[in-house]
Amino acid sequence: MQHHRPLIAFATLATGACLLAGCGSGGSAAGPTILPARTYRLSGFKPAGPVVPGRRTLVSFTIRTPSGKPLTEYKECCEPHQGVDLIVVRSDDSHIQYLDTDVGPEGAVSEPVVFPTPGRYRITIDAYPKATTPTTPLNFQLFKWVTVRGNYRPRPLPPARSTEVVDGYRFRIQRHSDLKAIVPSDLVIHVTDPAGRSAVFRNWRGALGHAIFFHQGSLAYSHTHICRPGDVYCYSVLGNVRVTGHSTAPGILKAGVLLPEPGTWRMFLLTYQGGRVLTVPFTLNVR
Amino acid sequence: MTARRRGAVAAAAVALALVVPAAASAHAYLIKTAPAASVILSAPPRSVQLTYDEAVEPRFAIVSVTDVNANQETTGPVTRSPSDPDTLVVPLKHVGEGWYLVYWRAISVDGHPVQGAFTFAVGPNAGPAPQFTVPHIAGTATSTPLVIAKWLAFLTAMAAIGLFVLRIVIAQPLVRRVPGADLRAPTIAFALAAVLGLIAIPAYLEEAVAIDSLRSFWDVTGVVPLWRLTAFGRGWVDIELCFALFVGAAGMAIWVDRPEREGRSVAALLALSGALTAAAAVLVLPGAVGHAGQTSPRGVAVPLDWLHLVSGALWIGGLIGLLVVWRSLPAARRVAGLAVTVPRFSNVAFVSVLVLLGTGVGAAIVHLPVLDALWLTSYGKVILIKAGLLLAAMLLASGNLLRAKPGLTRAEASEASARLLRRLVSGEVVLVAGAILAAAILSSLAPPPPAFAEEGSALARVGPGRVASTVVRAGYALQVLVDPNRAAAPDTFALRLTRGGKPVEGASVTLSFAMLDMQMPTQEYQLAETAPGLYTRKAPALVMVGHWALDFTITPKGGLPFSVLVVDRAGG
Repeated sequence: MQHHRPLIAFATLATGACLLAGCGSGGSAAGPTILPARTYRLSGFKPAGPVVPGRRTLVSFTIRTPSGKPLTEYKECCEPHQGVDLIVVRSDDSHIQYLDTDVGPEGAVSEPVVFPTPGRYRITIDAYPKATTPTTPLNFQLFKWVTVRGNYRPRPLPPARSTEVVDGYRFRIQRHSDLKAIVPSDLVIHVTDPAGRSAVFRNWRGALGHAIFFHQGSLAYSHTHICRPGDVYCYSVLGNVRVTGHSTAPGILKAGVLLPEPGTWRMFLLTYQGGRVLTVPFTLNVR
Repeated sequence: MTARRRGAVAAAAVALALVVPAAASAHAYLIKTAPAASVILSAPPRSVQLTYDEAVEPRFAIVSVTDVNANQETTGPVTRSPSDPDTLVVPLKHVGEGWYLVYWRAISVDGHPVQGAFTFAVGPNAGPAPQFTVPHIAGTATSTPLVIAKWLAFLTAMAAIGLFVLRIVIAQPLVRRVPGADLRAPTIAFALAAVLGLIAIPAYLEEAVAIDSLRSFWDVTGVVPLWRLTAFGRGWVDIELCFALFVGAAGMAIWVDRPEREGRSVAALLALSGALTAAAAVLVLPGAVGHAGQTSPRGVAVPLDWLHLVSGALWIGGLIGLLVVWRSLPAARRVAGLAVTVPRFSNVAFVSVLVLLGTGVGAAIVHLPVLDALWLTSYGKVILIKAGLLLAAMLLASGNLLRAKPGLTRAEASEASARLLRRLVSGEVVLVAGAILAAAILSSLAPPPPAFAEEGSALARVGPGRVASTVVRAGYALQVLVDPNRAAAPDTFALRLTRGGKPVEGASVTLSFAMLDMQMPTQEYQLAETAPGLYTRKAPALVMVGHWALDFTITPKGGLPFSVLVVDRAGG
């Protein structure tokens, strides 16, 4: 027996190591642990629940940066690319509001909003942070839904037509029907005042006109500017494509269009006329 | 061997190396994805598809698709595309607008895991691009239980082969020359090592496949059917079969062996040659399915690896055998027995050690692209540790050769020499077993890729984090900008080219990316001049966390091209 002691020792060692190797593996292999990404997020959004139609409701929130700190610094120069804008759209594309906001201390953003009728409204929060780091984006959008109490009656969209009249101002789209998704194009719009003369445009929120697009159904959002020639602060770039609109003569607006998906879109054309903002809705069919 | 004959052998070896085709890299790499990296889709995709350069096994693959809150969006297991065997498909839920992180891990045909990540977005209003944290499953090929299992498989199989050679060749005359001596103890030691080897080899394979398929070691019914799915698994099944064949033939050879007779019978010779052939096959397979089989020139790397294992097996098995013989001999006949065995073993061991040393150095030259890699990479460091252990073992062996062996034949010193011999041999066994452990770790690590050689010529080392670093070359000042320098993100790469403080316009600038931590295909991009003297490109080129060689080739207008290499570390 004495002679076999080393053999027994070797066998014991090997068996022990075998067991160690086998036992140690139970559950040691696992899938990846994915952590939440760091990104711009909304916090403390109000109203937290359903609101009452027709009444002033304070919409307020703070945007948190990827590091989790409140975003307190926004671009201050120059319109139309500054601060935080709110675009409120009813889920049936029948109503929009384009609002400026106040940024308070600690980055609290607030703006009173009147939701006119019952239904669901999507708020697009378009933020232009100050470029404090090289990775700061030019702007970004965050989205939030608000429910307005009452009996929701969706309104069918009117069919695509080339002429819309708002407050006596007549807006007529020239060449209406050849819009394609992902292909940039221009819409030429002729505008006459109630007296039938070519309308004269002036800058409002950094542009002669804002063309705001919402897709019927997905509520996908797009926004382009119609700029005064030579205005360096006014432009529209979507992805890497320049879609800036221009107005080179009274009564003519050329709006840049670049829509990401086919279907029915609502274009709200906002211009400043006679001391007030006119919001002109068009229905567009995009192939 | 005459000088002329040696020359002929060397020429034949070189010719063989040139004839045997160079092996391609066996690490799978991703060549195409759908959705494409960093793309913003207008409609949610139904699945994520990953196309590799080889058919990877879906049962070993992980594809995770998560939103910004880390919610998993896949709805089923990874499958192979019916139309393309190289493509893996994972189905998705109907995902909403936003950004998604795809993390994938696959097992190459050689058994090594590869992994990567990329992002895509569902738009049109995907929101700001988030900063995803790219997960990383540690290289499980180097997990402790697996390395121990591999070490035991190597140690027991090599010990069994060496013990068999000692029992049947080296120690055989003991029976005739020392009255009353027998070979029972080395036979039992061989049988024990053989049984342990027969268990350890499949245990190692089971553990490796369990880890790769993310299953438990004990899920035998789930894991065993996966054994033969990769070339690595098939190789180890072949090792087990060859080893079983060897054990059978060796058992037969020992059974028909008549050590008390001077010559060997035809049956004994046949059994012996069968066992030795099977042993040779066992020792050629680990190299053929491992790194040696993927290292060019394969005609050199595989035989080197085989000779290395053969000499290692003869040494470790012989040493253990000597200790067994030492213990099994009665004290009165110990010196006489050792005087027969030790000189015969010494001759074998001396040649083995020389071969071990030569093939080890040869393998290091074949596997390491540059000398720096020896101390700069983990692979190189393990080679140094292994070499250190073997050198220490050689020191002890030289003690045996110079002191203990001559002492055995001198009557006045024989007892002391036998004791010295036992101590030195025990030390050698521990050191060689340690060297085999280092070899098990070594064969679990990926050798440094050829691109590692480029690192030495780098003008700067940058990252992790945003890069804005200036280097001077050929009279030009080059500011290299990488932002945000994160893996799986569309990074912006830029080069600001100035000469005498003035921007250099109209140059042609290309940028190539080579992964330094593992073998991957090189990507090359043309940079566009976006401002006077500023050349930029946005590309999802850094597909993995780790070290990247960024090689800028600059051709100034009307000037000669020159290149600048920067080693960048991309963060997760």
